[in-house]
Amino acid sequence: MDVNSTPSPSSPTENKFLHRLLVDAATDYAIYAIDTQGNILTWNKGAELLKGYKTEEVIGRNFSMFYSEEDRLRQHPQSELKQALEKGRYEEESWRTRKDGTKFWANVIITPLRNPSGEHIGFAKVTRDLTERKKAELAMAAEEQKFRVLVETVKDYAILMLDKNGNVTSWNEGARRFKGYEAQEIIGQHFSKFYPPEDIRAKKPEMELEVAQNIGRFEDEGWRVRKDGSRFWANVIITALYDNQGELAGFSKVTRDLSERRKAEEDLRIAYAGLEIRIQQKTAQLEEALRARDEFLSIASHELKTPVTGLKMQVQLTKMRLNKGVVDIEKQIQALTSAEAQIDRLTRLIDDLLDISRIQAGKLSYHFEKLNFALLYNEVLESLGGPLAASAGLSSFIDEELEGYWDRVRLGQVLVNLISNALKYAPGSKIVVFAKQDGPYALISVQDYGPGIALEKRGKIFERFERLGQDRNVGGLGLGLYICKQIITAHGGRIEMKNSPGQGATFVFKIPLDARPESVAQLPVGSL
Amino acid sequence: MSESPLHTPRVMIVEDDEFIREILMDFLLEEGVQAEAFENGKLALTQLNRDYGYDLIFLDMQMPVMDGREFMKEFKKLPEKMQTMPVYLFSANSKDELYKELGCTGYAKKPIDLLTIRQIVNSVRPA
Repeated sequence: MDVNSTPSPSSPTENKFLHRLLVDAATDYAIYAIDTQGNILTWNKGAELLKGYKTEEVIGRNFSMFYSEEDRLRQHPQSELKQALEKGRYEEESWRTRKDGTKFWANVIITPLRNPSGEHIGFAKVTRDLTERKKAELAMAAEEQKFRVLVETVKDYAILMLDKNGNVTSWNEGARRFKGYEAQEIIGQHFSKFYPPEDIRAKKPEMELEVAQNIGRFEDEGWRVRKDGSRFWANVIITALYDNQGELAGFSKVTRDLSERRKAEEDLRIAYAGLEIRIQQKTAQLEEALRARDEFLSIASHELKTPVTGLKMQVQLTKMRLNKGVVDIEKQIQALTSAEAQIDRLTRLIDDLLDISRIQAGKLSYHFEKLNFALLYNEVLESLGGPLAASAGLSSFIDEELEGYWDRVRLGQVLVNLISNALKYAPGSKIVVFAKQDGPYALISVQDYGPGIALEKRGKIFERFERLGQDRNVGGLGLGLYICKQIITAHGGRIEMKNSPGQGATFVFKIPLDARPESVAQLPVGSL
Repeated sequence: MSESPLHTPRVMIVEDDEFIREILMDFLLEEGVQAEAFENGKLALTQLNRDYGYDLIFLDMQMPVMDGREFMKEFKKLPEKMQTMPVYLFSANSKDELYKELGCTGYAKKPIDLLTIRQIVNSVRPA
């Protein structure tokens, strides 16, 4: 209410009275008058509430009673009055004390009072309690301080402030760690110092600030440079900061070092690519294995059908002859003898197939016994009989003394397979077999002078369903060498193929003299 | 090839299995047929280039050196008058259509029945 500007019908005396009531009634303001020396002349309701003194307790006393001891000693109350008188007004905010000793944050305005003739007669003093506002300000300042400490101590992010032009104005621990600069070295410097030369040439730092200013924010991943010149892969977010009036005040810049993440991603990518290659290789291997199996099935059925065909025809022919009454005993015996050979052939094929399924099921059992190699070898030659006799010749160089603990049937099977292979794939060639002792091992080789084995086949010859011949029409299941290798391995030994194509093939194997599992474990065969 | 009614059929056998070859030879001989056997397609072709006076060929599919498929390719290149010569394929596990694909006259599936062989041979005998 502005009593001066409102026209009033009341008399001046009435107005003064009203004014007096108004001042007295104001409770949110302490309003009182003091004389030129500071002695209290009047006291209103607000003053009573604010300071806790009744009127009779303060009238005539000096207003310095509301000030702290320290303020009084430095003559602060007098200084206030002096300034008010000189400038026409004095205002301050400071802590004041109530009667009960509690403090409050006061806004104080002191105005000199003059009588109508202009003579200085005292001061009006208006005091407001701004404790709540002050508390809020203090709380906010404390929060800001905490926040500042937080930002300053963050280690995993570089957090810094830039002024409008991009010069660094604050620096935290993370920034120090990532970029290598101490605060005093970098504050005031342009932030383009953190960019590689090519980015600086391309005016990238300036562009980033421009984007941040235009759309509020700029985010980027890229190379940044440390003080020592090394680079790191960074995620950078620049945010434009505005003051209360909406004017651009500067920028905040938060940088994360993603070098580790980038490296992890790169490692992952490499690992993934490696995995993909391995999957492709495995797939190719599986496809190859499937193809080999299909081919094996086709070969196996052909191989089995051939002796069956012979047998069937032999039986039919014999029956026809008997039906006709033509009985030539000698011819019949001959026919039955070859039929028997066909049955043996069929049996061997079936045995091979059974061995394979036993090997695959891990059920191929071994019986190790004391054997003389020469005796075993002679049994093998006897069993090969016919085909061997038809060949160009076999030379054997066998150590008669060579003895060991081996499986008679299986070792015999290895020799039959190797010699049969030589007969089959090197028809007409000489075959040479060596057997001798070599330390705690027996060393045996079977050599032919046939076409040898193509280089690309070498690595696979001991695998299942692989056949030595380049010609798929040469008979055989392609299991022989696979079975040989399984048997030699079970004897704790090694088997290898030597020589180059065109110079014949040599198969060498080395087995411990005592192949019983308990001895083999202590005697591993190295290379051949 | 002769059209004489007194002509004894002459049969070529191309088969790598010695045992089958021998039984077939014995059987055909006893059937009154003149038979000659070859171990593989290549040997058979060499013979045909010298002498193509055969009435019938029995051809095995899987053989070393030159198999049935290769043999038929080469056979197709021989003079046209030889193309009338019937060729019967022995096959172990092939589809029935294989003989057509190779351009053979017919086939006998393994295990081969001698009665089938007799029928085939009789089909080329003069009436």
